[in-house]
Amino acid sequence: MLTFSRNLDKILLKNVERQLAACHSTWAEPKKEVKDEFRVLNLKHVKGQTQQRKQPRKTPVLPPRTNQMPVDQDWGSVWPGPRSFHPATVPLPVRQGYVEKDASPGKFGNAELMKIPNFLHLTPPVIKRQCEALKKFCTPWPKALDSDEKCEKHFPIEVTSSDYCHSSPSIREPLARIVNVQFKLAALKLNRRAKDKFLRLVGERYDEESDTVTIVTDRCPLKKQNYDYAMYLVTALYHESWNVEPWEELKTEADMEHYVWDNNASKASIEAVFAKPAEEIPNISVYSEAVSYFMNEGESEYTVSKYGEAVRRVLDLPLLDAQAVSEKNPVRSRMNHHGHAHHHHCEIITTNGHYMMPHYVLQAVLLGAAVIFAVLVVGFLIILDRAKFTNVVRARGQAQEAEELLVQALARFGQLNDT
Amino acid sequence: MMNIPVFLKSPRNVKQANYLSSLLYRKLSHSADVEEKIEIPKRIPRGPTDILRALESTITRDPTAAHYKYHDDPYLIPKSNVGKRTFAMAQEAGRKAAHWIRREHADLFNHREADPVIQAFLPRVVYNEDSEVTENDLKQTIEDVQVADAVIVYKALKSKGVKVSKETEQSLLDLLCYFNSEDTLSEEFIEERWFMQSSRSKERHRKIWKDGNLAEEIFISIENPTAEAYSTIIQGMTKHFQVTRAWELYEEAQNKGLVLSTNTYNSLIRVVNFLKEQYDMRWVLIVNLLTDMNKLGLKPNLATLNAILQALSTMGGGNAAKDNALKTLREFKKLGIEPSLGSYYFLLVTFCKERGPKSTILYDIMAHIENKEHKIRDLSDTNFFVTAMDVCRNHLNDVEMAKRVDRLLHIGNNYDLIGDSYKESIYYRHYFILLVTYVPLDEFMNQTYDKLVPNIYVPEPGVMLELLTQVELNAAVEYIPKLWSDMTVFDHTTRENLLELISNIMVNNPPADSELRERFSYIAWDMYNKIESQNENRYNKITLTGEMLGKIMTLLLKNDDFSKACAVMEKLDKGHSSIVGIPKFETLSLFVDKCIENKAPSQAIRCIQYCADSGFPEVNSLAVRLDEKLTLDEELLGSLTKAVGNFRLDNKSSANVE
Amino acid sequence: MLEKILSSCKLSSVSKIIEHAPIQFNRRLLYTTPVHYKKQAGRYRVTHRGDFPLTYEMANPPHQIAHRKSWNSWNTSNIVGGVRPAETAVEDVFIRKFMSGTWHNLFVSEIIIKRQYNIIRIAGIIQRTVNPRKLYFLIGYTEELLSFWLQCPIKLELQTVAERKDVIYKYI
Repeated sequence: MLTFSRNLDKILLKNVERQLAACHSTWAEPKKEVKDEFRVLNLKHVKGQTQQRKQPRKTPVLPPRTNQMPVDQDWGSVWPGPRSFHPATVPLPVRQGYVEKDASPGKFGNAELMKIPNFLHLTPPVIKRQCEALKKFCTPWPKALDSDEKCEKHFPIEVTSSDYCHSSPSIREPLARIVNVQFKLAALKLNRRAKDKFLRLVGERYDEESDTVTIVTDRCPLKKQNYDYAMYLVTALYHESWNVEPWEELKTEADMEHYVWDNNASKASIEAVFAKPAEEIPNISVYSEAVSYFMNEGESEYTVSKYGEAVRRVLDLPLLDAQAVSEKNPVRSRMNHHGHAHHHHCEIITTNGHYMMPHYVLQAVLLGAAVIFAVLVVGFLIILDRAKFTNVVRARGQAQEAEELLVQALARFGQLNDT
Repeated sequence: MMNIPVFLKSPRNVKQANYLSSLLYRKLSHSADVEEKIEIPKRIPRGPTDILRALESTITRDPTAAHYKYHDDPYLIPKSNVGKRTFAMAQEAGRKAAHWIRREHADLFNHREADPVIQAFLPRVVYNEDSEVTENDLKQTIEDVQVADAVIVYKALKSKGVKVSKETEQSLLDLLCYFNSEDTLSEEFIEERWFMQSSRSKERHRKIWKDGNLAEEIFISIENPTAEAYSTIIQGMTKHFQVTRAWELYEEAQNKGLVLSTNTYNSLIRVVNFLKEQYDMRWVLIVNLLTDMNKLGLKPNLATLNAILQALSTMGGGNAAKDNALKTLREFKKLGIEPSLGSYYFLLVTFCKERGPKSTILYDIMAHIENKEHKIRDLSDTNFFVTAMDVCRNHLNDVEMAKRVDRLLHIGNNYDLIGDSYKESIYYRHYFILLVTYVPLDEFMNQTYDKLVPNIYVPEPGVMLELLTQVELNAAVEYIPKLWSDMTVFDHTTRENLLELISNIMVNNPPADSELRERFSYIAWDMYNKIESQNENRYNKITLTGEMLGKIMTLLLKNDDFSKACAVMEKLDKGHSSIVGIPKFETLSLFVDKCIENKAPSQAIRCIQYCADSGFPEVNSLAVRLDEKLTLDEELLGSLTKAVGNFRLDNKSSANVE
Repeated sequence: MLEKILSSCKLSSVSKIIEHAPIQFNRRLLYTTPVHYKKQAGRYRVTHRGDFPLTYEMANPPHQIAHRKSWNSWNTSNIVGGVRPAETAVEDVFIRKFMSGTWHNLFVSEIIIKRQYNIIRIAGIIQRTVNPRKLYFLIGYTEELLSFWLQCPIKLELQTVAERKDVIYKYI
């Protein structure tokens, strides 16, 4: 019955037979027994009857397709995207690896070549072609914006944020939230006082060298939020710096952080000297600048000589030759430049001059010198006095204290005795 | 990781920036022209894949590479049609195995690695009758086209007594009617879809609607069904050829005075040939339906046009159908409905009947559609190219037209409209045979064959036969080695007619150069070995005939492969009783000559013996020649005499006669 | 004035960094154990017969990485500022185990894992001992199942060689 059905199979469908054989794989030799009448029941595994291992049928392998490739083929179509190296597709005789005293291993079966990232998909003509294809998504650069200055002028704010491209299944990256806003301080409409306030508000976010303010926001979780926050900060800073609080009016000269000539006695005194408003005095701007410079920068050879020159100009005295001034006429200043504006009363210069000076200037100079001398003498006396007598005074004080204590103690004893 | 300066991207940001820049003092404004206007162009809107598509458009087909779904490795590139199919399907089977594992162990695949979560990687939600479901689940399953799940969820909802809203019920009915209440093959398995179509076409016109299925149940359960519900159920029934019920429901709806949708009418028109037998009655029915639509104020659409044309294409080859088709086309053009490729397909079917008169309508059609990119607008659009090529080959016999059709196929994304693997191969079969017959062979081989074979198209044995016939006609033997290697790869070496033809060509056109002779000898030996080493249990095993062996021997001998020729001779000699036919005498004579050359008298005597057994009258001359050229010892002479009798005597007597 | 403030700020920030830097090497220790310079990882012992086959990868010990051979895993997790280094390493081990188990006795090279964006490309050399049809099944299965597990698209990039001998670099 079995054989009969199998014969039927053979006649009808060769495939079914194969399946049958596969289903009954426990039979020792399914193929052979189709031919034989009887099948030997092989209970014990007899030696020598070991089944022959079926030789796997060799599938024919095509030659590498590099052989068929024409020389003028379109490489961009052969290798359209990033991919690991494959020797049968790349028609180059590349080699990779190190062999002592021999050529490097060839491209077939070379895992090293598969490891290294390749840029076979980004050959120059392909890049050119892809750029052409992407042009339709690009808008032209505004014609009017032809220089960096114009860009800066029309787009004074530069916003920088980072996108991160990790090789990971997640596209999230906490650092991407940080937004950096930069603009030039000069681009803001600020007056001096507002600017001053602005600088105080931004603190170290201002770089004096490049005149840029940099605001970095990262406190919100999202880039968008941080951007909005940065923009809010810029707006708030601007309006706040224009705000004038009532207490700001109370600022006195002593609170100034810069020497401003207009607010100072120097102006008043020169006006007094010339007996007319400062604006009308010739060369006054040179003088005021020199004074401010001197006061703000501190005493140095340069500031002093500059000051001297300005004084000469304002008083219409003949100018010294620049070198002559520094060599022959060492300028002495009696001013204490450590302090601030409270020394404004002594911006007067003494020169051992061979030149004629108007007597009132000399008068003032002498007067000032006398005053200073007097002050110094008094100060010296005070110090001397302190230094000399302190010990005596201290000893005297101690003696007095001891005496008092003694008196108190005696009084106490008296009380005790009374009781 | 890169730092990318962002210049105020979104429109909202720009607005804000404008406000800010009003705060900003323009330093240069007084120096340069103040009114200079900066116009920033609007961002060109683009979809998420537009960039990729643009990049893709720079890539052309690489003729040396297989389709990209196959692995690019010499071992893994499919070599034949069977290979293409098996490899793609095997890969899909592997994917299905992975899907099965995920389904079986859904609890293990619930981790969330990706952010944002990619839904396709997560296991599907499993529903059963007892699961806690809401209407939203039903909506979701309908959205995801999971028919079986939708049915389960619906039943679970019903058993819990949850009321399902009218809209959801309607969309469920839509789903069930469209898919005949059966789960459909997931979109993911494209290969199966690509290779499946061919088998489905057979059951095209059979009733497959499941009577009394859930769709009908739902329809019945609806009190006072709306026109929408009627439309849906009628469309579902006509789609699956439950035509009589559909018509009953249509009349029922008519009686109730409901206005059905245009698509319902379209579906009824499409099955009009099931409703009426005679052609003219069918046309009357169509006209009636259209009039009804007109009365109800329904505007016809492209599907209406295609439905009418489809119905007309089944109405025989009479002139009435053709006239009506053209009339319909004109009418719809007036309505502003542009016919799709599907409409033209039906026109071709109507006009180019196998036994009908020759029609040149394809020329007119091509004038309309040439050099344009076409998008799919109707399901029947995918039939156009294969039918057009069929018409080119069988109806018009026009190579130029075929080339035009082929050019149209390769414009833009038109190749998407080729349909499926089956249609594709039929298309190329027609194209190839047409080109082989009408284009000079050299041109065909260089421009078409080399580019399309084997990666885009693998010629079937029939096409190969045609090609070989052309090679024979042109005596273009230089292509034989290439064709033979292709035939080996495509597994055509088991076709007797092909083997016979190719060996004929090689024998009848002896090549001049030695290289080609060598190749031929190699091919012959290859052929011999292939046939010899056939699987014993092969279904249609081919057997070597005497003629074939003779040809093989000739080719081997021409290249002086004497030992191989001896093997063939041995085969001939041994299988004298079983091998059908005998080789030509010239071959055997040549063999004897070569034996003399190689000083192998015993082989020669065996051959002479064979000749004598086969009854060649000229056998004596062979014996004489052998005797003359070689000095034979007694033993050999004896066996020679045994084979042919006293040849020396005959020889002498013949000499005497002369 | 302002400059002064700024410079003082910078100074202070620098000093802060110095303050907070963990103090290391604050004590010196004397080790009396002799140093044992035995390194074994990734090195193969020479056999008596000298017939032990080595691939190029095996023939070069680990210290040759970046000199004569390159890495088997390519990703951005281990560069400065990279994310999920631990997860990536564990996943790579998983992939290697999965591949060598599923593609039993087929790989004749190490399994190379390259990650770009969320795509993982698995490359390697296999031998042609199995029918291509079965290989296609394995390709489909591996790509899909690993995608489900790692939740990123997986691509296999295989090269086939006729037999193991084709990748042998030397015998020791």
